Amino acid sequence: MVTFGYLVLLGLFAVMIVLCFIWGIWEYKKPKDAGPLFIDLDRTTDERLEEHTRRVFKAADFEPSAHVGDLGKDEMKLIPFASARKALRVELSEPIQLKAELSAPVRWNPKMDETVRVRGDVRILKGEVVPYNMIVEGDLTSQDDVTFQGGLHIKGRAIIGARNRLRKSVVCQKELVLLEDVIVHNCIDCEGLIFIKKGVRVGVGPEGGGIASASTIYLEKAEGPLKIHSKEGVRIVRSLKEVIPDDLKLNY
Amino acid sequence: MFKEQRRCHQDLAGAYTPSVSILIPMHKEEKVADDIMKRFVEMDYPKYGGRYEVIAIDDGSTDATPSIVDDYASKFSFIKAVHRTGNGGNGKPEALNVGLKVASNEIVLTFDADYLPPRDCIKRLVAPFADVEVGGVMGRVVPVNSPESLVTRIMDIERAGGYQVNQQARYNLNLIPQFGGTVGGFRRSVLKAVGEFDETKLAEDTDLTYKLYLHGWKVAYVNAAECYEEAVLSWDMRKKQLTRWAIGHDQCFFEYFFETLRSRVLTFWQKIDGILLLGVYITPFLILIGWLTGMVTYLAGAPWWCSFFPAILFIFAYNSMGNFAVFAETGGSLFLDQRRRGIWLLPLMLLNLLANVWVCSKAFFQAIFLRQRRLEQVKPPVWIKTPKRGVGTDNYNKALNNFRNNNAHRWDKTERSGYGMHFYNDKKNAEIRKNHRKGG
Repeated sequence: MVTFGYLVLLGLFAVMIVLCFIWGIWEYKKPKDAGPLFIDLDRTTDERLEEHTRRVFKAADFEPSAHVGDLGKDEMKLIPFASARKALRVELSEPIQLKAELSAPVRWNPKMDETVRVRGDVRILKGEVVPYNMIVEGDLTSQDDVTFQGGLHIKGRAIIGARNRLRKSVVCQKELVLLEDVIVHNCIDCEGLIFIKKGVRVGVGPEGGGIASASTIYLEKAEGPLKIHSKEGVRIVRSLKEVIPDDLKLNY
Repeated sequence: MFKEQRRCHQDLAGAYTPSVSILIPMHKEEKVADDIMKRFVEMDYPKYGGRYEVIAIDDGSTDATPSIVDDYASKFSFIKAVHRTGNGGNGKPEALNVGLKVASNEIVLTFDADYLPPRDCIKRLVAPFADVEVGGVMGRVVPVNSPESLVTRIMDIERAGGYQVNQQARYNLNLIPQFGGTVGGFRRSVLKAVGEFDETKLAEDTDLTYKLYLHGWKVAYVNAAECYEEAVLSWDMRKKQLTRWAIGHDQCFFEYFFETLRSRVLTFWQKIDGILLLGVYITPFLILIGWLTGMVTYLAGAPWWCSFFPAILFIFAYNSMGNFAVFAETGGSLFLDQRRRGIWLLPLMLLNLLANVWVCSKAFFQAIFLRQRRLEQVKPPVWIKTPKRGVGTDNYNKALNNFRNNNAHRWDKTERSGYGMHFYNDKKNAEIRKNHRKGG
């Protein structure tokens, strides 16, 4: 009797083991999803960047909703800046000068002359030429007429001064402000808000480019082609002064 | 699983088109060479001004591969055919190093010869290089011949887990997504700075991944840059492939374990992930030891102090979570790919686990042996490669037909009975009769 009981238990155990695999064997023998996962080999990129050839026209052309209005005098009231201002209220630590930082052993890698990593906030003086790729683990402020010969990756916030020239791309993990007549040869990709003054040109290099943001892009009304994509929309404003949070306003 | 994935600069895909060189190392690839060259001819990328350059590296092939790539090179100015004779045939890392010598662009992408990239693949892969912090990039690999056998089906779902969940999660969490040596790329200047491909390694991709991270660069994982590959068909081929990967990975484990721990550029979690990733092919060996220990303890009886052994807690935790992690990962990826019926195959992955335990345990000792040989400056065996059968395009065409058939009637609409007017007329007549009665 005991032996019979053991046999029953063993049989039940075997059934349970088989039950685990039966579904797999079923799907293998009579496949409903044999694959492969379909990839259309003829597909091309759905370019998200939209070409805005003129930036001076009715805001409604950009945004079908009533967020911005038609650039009338009450337009600013409709833009939800309050939350953005709150999010941006971060104390800046004391800025340091790039030259001083480079003299310290802060190189990204001694073998790679082209890229430097800077820990802390950086302020680049007027007319300076930066011949490296730069990775800034802090905030970046560049004064007017600075030329960046390499690309920029900023972990904090960035204010790019007027008439700066950036030969490659800018990636910014927080808010980014581009002042008048900045030229970026390739791309801007930003996780935070982007504020763009008039006269800014992006993607003028032979490799092309454009602006992408995971947040909102604020454009000061101006003329000129710009390829942009923003997850939370593009808003046209009459003057950035009215929308840039105080701590991002340039004061050098 | 349920949140939006990290963006990986894909908003810029198509807008940013830097100069790019594509390396395709080939060794006796006559069955697949034509297919991949055709894919790169049809690639959607600006091909003027040297911006797009395809370099097919024939590494001492003795079949029709040289003539196939020569044919393409003569027809298209952006294709270069590099032939290695004499010293050729010494393995993929060496072939890549030769290709790099003739590559003229800063961004270099590599593809294996059996791969079938879609037309947007290059645009998607180069987009992350807009970020100066990115030193390497990796796309997603999808087996094209999954319906062929049980092995290919298991490989298919395993790959899904490895990319859709594993690599993506590593990228999302800012850990260590891996450059896989194909459907990926790197900056040439970075590679030069960290040293060329190590020709003594069987996993030059893992080696490069760690070189990049230890020098402070990052690898971006682009899930949208999908590419078909030809998966291995039989357990025998799988064993060879896995042996190569496991030995190569273990070589990197010996080389980078302490360096990863000591690194000043990696974060704490990157170090943890880096160590786990390095040990990914040692884990099956540890599982084997666990099984053997368990059996011995069961048969011989456990000593009395075993119950006080604190590690027992971790063993239970690992058995509850760790052993099932790969199944959970694969199931999650199939869910994300909307292939829920594929989840039924999960129990059969146990076969793969058993194969992994045996092959990787053997490979662990082979890696120790190879390390000894390497210390004595002896090169590993040449081109330990998986033979290709050239069934990629056929399988893709089948998949395309299936897709078209399944989606032939895209109007996902409610079926109409055509009785609308009939009901309307009935209703109308009823109203007329009602009014007539009232009036009457």
